[in-house]
Amino acid sequence: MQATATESAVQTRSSGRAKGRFNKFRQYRMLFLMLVPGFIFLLVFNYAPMYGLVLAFKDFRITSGILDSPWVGMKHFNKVFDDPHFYVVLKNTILISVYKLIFGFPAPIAFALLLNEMRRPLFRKWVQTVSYLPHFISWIVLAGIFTTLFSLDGPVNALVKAFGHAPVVFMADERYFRSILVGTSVFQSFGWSSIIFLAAIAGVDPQLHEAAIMDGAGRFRRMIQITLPMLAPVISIMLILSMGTILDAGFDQIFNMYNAQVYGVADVIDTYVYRLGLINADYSYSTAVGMFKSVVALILLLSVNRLVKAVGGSDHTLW
Amino acid sequence: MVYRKTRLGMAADLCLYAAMTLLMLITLYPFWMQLVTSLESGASVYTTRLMFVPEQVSLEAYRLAFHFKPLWTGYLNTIVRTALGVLCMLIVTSLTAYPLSKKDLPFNRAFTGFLLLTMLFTGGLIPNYLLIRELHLLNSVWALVLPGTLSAFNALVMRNFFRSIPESLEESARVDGAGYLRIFISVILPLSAPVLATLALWVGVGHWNAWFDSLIYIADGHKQVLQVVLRKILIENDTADMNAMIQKMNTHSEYTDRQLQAAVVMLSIVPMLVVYPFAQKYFVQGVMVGAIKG
Amino acid sequence: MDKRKKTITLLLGAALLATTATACGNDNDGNAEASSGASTASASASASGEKMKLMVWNFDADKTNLDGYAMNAIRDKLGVDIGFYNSTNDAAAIKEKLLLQIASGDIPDWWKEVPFADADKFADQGAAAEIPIDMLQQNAPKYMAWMEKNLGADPMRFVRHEDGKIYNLPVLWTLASSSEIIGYRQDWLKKVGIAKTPDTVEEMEAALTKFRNDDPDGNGKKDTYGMTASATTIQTIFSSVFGAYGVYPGATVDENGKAVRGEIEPGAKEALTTLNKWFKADLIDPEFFVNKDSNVDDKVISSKVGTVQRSWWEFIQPEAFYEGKYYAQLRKNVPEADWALSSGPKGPSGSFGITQGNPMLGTGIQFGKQLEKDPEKMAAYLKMFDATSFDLDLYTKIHYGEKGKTFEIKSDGTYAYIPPYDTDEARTKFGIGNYYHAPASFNDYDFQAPFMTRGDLMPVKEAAASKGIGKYDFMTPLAKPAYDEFQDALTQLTIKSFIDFITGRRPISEFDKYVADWKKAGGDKVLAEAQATLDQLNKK
Repeated sequence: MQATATESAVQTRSSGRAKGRFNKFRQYRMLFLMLVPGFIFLLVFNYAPMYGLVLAFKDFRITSGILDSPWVGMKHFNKVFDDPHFYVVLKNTILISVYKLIFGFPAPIAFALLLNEMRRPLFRKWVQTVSYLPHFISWIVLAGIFTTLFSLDGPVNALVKAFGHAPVVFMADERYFRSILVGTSVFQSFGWSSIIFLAAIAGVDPQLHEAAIMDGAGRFRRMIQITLPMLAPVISIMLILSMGTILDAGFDQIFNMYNAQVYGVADVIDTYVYRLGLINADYSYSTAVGMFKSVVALILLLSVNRLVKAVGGSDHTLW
Repeated sequence: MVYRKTRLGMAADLCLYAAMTLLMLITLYPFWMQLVTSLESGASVYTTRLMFVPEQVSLEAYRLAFHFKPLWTGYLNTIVRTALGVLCMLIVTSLTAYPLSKKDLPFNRAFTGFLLLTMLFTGGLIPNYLLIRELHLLNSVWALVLPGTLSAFNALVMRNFFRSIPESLEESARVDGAGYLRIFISVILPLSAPVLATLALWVGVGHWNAWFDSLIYIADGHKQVLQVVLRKILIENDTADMNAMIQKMNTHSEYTDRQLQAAVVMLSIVPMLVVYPFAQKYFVQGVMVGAIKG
Repeated sequence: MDKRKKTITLLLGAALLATTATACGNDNDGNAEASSGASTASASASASGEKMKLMVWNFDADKTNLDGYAMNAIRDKLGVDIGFYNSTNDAAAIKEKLLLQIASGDIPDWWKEVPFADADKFADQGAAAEIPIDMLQQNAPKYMAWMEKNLGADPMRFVRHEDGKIYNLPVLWTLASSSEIIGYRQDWLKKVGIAKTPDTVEEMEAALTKFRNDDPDGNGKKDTYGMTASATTIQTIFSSVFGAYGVYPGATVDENGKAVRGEIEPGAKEALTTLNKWFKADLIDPEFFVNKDSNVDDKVISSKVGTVQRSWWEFIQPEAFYEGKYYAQLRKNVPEADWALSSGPKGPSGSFGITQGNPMLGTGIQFGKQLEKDPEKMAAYLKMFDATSFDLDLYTKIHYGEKGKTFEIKSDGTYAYIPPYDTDEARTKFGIGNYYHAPASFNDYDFQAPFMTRGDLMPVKEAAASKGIGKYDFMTPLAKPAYDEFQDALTQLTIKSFIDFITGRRPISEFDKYVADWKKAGGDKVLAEAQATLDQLNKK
């Protein structure tokens, strides 16, 4: 109700006179026309294949195809939820994902802000370029490097020993493993993720800074009071969108880094489903798990969207 | 320069530059290590120590890769795919994002929801394959370009950027009598270089690194993309015995030759690094203006 | 004025849309006929009045030549025409691609090496054809003889489906059942004053102790360990030490008619006790459980450890078989390095051995359902498989080409390409090599010995190969729903418990508790299933 009221208010203001639905469509005709190609793409490449989702409620028979495979109702979901190990991996997934969000989400923002403070263009360019590099190196390679770094005679343990402590097998220690996962993930992605924030900073009107300087605001204050608020819309939308992948804790990373000693804290939905799939490739089961993940993501996304709306108004939300 | 050169400011600067230098060294390390490994000829690539310089330099891995003829067609196919992918993405995404950036557009919420659902639910591999087959796109570069053209994530990011452009700029164009399309082309797009560059980079890198879709949709060896060719070099050098390969499939070990693997990483990263500085200028534009004026 | 502007805008809009459509929307018609390799192939195969067309899998499009010497040799030999199924050599995609082909109705005539669970599904769901046993015996006699030689009478008993029919031709990787051995650094043994290869658990312990303490690499630092391993599977965790106590963890083995899992036997407790002792004495790489295979390689090749378990061909010259990684790479660092090979230490009762692999590690070959209605074609395929794998003349023609032109037989009996055919390019052009899968699955290594091993190295190869002794999981190729259901939980439990016992995080006295947990977590069902299957097998 409220939305409609605002809408018509806006319309009244922008067109000056309300002339009913037909006029409204006439007014927006070009905008609707612009939406057509995107609409077609979504219909053809996203919505048309979505009938595959029914596999979650069927037993897939390869020669019958998706539509003619027999219905089995909630069988695959029951299998998922009756499996006690599923709750372990669900918990791990959520924890790892949330930690990654808490530490990984602010890191690129802070990096972008600091980068923006650097006034030597050449140096800044270097830092910026180099910070992206880890993004291009696969987790197979990175995992090998981190295993060496955290090994008993690796540099991290050398430091530990220098402080007079006994060396630790970090990669096999349940107390440290999640921290290592989160830390290395931040390391790999902070530079690359900062691009979007740099782009937003690039859009900040220089006049705002000038005005603040006139008022005698220092660099730090301007960073917090001008640049950061200008980033708020990007930050909030990135935060909301990141909810869409909340149950993807990072398969490549974890698969290449975990070992039997830390399964208890590191086994996540994707690694578990992968191991099950190796023995018994089951499209229906994995579709059911995928659907579960999507539904959770949808709920979270809508909740966070609502939360952001309540806190910051509708300017920063998805809709 | 109006910046006050206070002692505090200098100290902050010093800290900042020191921290950034350290960060740069840390992030450079894995890349450097790959470079060294790719040039290392001795068995010291199997060392458990941290390497900083190669002990014996050898270009053997690169020679092997460069003699692999499909490498060059792979590069070409990947460039074509990336260029088409980025171009299509930019056109369709911006066309979609602009109307959605108008909050008063009727059915805006419905459209956004329609878009958002595609981010969360996907049909899976089999229906997608059947679709590509029905569209007769198998073995065509369009099979790699079209399915990812419009992603909800990109469209929403772009929409938000459009919303942050001051309304006043559009208003003045509208007063001049410009319609939405003209405003879009002549006002919005030129102001959106940073976000266009960001998405182009994101999507471009995605296309550059993608291989699975090409393996599935492309049967013709001459149309394979770079990453597939690079994987092939690794596999080929790894083993020619099918049975050994199956055993490896079952045990998931990564036996591949380190030097070659590292060279392959280099071969796929370096072109990206060459392209990057061109995109980079869009991210610092505003800041530069600010710095000069400030 | 206003109108004109509107028209221009509209035109612009239309133009923009049109560009989008042409840039993104249109598929180029030129590619319309280029559907997947499989569909084009089957279409042309159905053309009547021609020679029968058999399909050969082509995983390396750049290394093959459809009209080259090898394919012509098959054409001549069997009086058929040959076509290619084009695929990729990428393991990640082969399986998916096949599944997609079948799901979209383009069932190929035949395929090879899908996972067991998929092969069963293809049979159950009517994608794979039945292979009548007499057709097999008539058309693939050499293949059957090879199977019988390795598996005894009625070799097909392992792959018979629930309905009693055969749906796949198993591939034997005969090396698997005798591949794992123990290598000790021979040069290190010599350095620390041990003259003979360790034979018992005590002798092994003595060697490991000296490897740890006596600076065998002579760098003046105590930075070497006796032995390492990885803990990615149960089998890789020091299997040879378990063998000394007569148990084979990670495999369901046949102990005189009883199905036994080594990890829960009393022998495992003894082995874990020994390993725990060694771990406490610092003889074992203290972070072995973090290792992936690549870390093990690193540690072996950079001389950090002196004892390791691996396939025998990794320890000897590449020219003697293939790879020889631990030999060749190690020698780049340490030219005088050498390996003393062992089948594992002997325990108190004289037992020894290492968990080996089932030779039937893959599902082999299946035929598409359509061949059930075309027995002539299936027979022709069987003839082709038999001839390309076991007929010396055809085998040589496919892999080596024409004698005197592309290859020669050296005085020591090995085969060598004559220049310019010693390069891949020349061979591809001529159309010979190892890339023609027709089916290139049945590798009789006795038959292929002259092609793989340099004559003078034959004794080296024989000696190394004879060391691989142990038992393997007889259930690998058989249907095992209970195992499939519980294996992940059981494997995780076992690996975790073993590591805890070895490293001392958990006292060995809790071994019985682990066994109870294992049984409760589905292990008893797995054992019952295995026992039932074994009874069935032994009855026949």
